Amino acid sequence: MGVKKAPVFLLVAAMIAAFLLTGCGGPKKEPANTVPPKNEPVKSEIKVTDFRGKEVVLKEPARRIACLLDSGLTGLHMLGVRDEVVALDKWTYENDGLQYTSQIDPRIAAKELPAVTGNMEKLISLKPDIVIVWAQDQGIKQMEENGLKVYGVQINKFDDIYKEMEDLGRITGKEARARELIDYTKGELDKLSGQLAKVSQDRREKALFVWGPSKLDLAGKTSTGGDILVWAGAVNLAGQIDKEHFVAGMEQVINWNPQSIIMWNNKKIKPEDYYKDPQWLTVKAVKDKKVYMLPNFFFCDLWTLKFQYSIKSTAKWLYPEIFTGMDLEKEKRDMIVKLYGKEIK
Amino acid sequence: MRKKTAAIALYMSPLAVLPFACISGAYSLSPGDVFHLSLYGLSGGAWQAPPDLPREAYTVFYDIRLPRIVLAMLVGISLAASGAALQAVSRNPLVDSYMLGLSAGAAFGAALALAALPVPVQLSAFVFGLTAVVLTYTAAYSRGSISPVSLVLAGVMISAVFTVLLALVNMFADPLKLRSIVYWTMGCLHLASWAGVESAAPWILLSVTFLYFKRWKLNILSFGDDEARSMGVSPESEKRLVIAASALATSAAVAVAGVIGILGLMIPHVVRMLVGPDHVRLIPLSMALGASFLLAVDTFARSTVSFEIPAGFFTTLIGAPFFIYLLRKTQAGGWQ
Repeated sequence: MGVKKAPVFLLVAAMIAAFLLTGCGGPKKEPANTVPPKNEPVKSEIKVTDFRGKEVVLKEPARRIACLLDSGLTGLHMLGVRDEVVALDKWTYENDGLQYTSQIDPRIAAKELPAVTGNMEKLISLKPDIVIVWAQDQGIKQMEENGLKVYGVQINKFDDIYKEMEDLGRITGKEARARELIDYTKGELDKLSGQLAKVSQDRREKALFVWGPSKLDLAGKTSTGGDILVWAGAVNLAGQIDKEHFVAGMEQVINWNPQSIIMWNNKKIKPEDYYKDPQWLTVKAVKDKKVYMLPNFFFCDLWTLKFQYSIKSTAKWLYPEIFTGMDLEKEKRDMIVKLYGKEIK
Repeated sequence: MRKKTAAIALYMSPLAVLPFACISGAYSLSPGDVFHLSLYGLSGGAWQAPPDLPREAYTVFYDIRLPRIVLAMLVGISLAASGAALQAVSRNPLVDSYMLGLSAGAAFGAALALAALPVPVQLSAFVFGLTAVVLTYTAAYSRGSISPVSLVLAGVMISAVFTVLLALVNMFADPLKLRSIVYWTMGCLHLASWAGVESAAPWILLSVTFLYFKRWKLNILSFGDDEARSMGVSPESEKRLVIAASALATSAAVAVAGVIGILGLMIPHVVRMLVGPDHVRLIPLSMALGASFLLAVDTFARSTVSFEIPAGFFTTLIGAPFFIYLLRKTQAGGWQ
């Protein structure tokens, strides 16, 4: 038995000797498959699947972002990603929220950031790490053929906003901030739902959501406008119409006889236009002066986490007796500070 | 005899459609309700309607349905009469009320107001529609006269320019406004109101009355300029007046109802196929059929679906097959 153990002993001794010798002399070499220290993050590829179902792979968080989608830009600003944005959608410079967006990025105030919508040459010349764009954009194919990485966005329901924020967080290396914002929004909505649970089904307000620009441009079943009503505890009377946005007949509106009307912010029509229109005078919402218009879309747009303010405002208007303590101005201010980390007026 | 019967049927057609238009719609009004509501209105409120007739029935009938019916008839009259008159002066069967760049100009004006300008859509459409006509006429006018061919070609060019400008506005319009622009450019009788009727009716009635009294002259003009001169008619001044009246009627109609296609082209042809090319009958019968056709189409549209579909869809979808049927039966209605 002792004789049989001798070769094994010699082999182990030789290995130890060899190990000690290599350890004492010569340059240090990293072994091929070592585990990095715990305080150093693992460098791996960033993979997200966009709203087209296409996987987008980045080697590291994007440092040059062309954001050709205004709501995507809002998401980036909430994440604290500002200087990384190298190009915009022209709509950012044209919409009614410009005065507020300008307070976030001085380059937007000075109109220094290029709006590259439709300008492929300019877009390519900016060498973005990623392009954030509407998923239905006709230019996506051309962008990808030119070697650009594209993240396509399509917001059909509010859960899509959470997915977009999560993905933007990963793309920019701000996952924790994205999670914080999503949790905050869900928490606010949970609180609201808890209070709305007091409203029984038969007491739910029957309402319409008006997109404008005409008084009859309404939100149907598949509309985020209709979702606002439902989340605020109301019944969307136009929910039976399987359309995102449609023009209703006036007689149909009289048949529905909504108790309240919520309007998307609009320059062409105001609640007063309903009150003085003889065609609307028999409609309950008009008789009871319950036509409300949401504020500037910057504070409540339905394609970013600010949709929560649309829901809060609508809930407060529809059920003032439940939300007696809710101050909408304070809610707005607090939300903006939470989402952007600063006050925007 | 057949032509006489057809003419009587055409004259009576608005009266045939009207009762259906009054009782049809998303809001349910029975023939009895309409009867009581009509008497209530005609008696100045003295007629006692049944007490169970809800207040909104009055609103639906007097403030929503009636202005829409009146507007549909006025717009139908306007487009059909001006289409017939312009086909006569241009001696071109492909011409309609929008020939002079009017629809493209009005559409651009409406889109501009919807997307950017702080002015009423109707006013902007009216102004730009007439501007397009003036530009067309000026472009076609040469050496004291205006030829039908140059008038049509100038109209095509001015239309092209305004169409491009419209596309430019659409490019910069936000999606919500873009949708309204599309609705407007395909006809929008759903926005009918007494205010719309009041703003359009004087222009339309004045213009079509003028065209009605010019129907003898239209017969002469349709022979050609030389023949007109030989009969002691100044073709240039007569054409100018007819074009101005047609443009005014169409602009007023387009301003309140958007661009309703095919009607101005089709109705005069249908009437011509049924009763012949004599403008003495063609003009009033086109007015009658234009009114009843648009009223019937709009009644169908607002009764079948619970949301609004632009009237232009239905005028084309219903009108085109019927027009092709007549075309095959009558060998192009006498133009060949």
